[in-house]
Amino acid sequence: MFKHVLIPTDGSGPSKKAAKAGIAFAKAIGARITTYHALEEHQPIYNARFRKDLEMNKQLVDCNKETGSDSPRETVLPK
Amino acid sequence: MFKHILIPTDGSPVAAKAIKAGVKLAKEVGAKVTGYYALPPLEHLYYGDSYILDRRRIAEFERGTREAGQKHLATVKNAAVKLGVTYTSLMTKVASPYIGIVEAAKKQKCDAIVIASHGRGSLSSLVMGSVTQKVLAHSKIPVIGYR
Repeated sequence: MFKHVLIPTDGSGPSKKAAKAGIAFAKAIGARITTYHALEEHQPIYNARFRKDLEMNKQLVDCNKETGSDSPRETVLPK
Repeated sequence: MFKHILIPTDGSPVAAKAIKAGVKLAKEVGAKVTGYYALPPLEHLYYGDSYILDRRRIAEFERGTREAGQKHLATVKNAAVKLGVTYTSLMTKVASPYIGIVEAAKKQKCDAIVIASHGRGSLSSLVMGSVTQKVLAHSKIPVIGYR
């Protein structure tokens, strides 16, 4: 039936629950999974709080580095 | 994983594809299936102001929709019998099909719904059908919108 299941996550509680269910589902039907996390792009706004903005941007980049990678991670679950 | 899958149908060709997929999935995970058909309410034609509504016509309409439902549900039954999947069916008269589908899933204690991504609508091959969208929005259990 299904051979490959995409499991997107944003790291939230409901998304974790869905990921768990998705993995159980993939295992039950013998499919492989690809996890996906969309990196957020921060649009800097140039105003009086410019400095703060730059700082936020840096934080976001760090956060993205921590939570995601450019290539999806693939796992094959044994049936 | 899933123990009991609800497969609603409106008798359209896309629904037939979803039925096939749903039954196959049920077979793979060892679930049973329930086929569901929502009986439509009286067509507008029947209560428009230039139409005389009588009991006979209502009865005719109801018989017609029930017969259609039996026919559509037979598709689910045949698919289930072919793959040796345990099968039941349900038909209820509701104001809107999505209500019937969500209620049927609750009543039958289903743990998943496999539904076609769209049904009879015309534009619908591009977007999710309205019934499927509403089922997704109102269902408490996982929904697979089959494309």
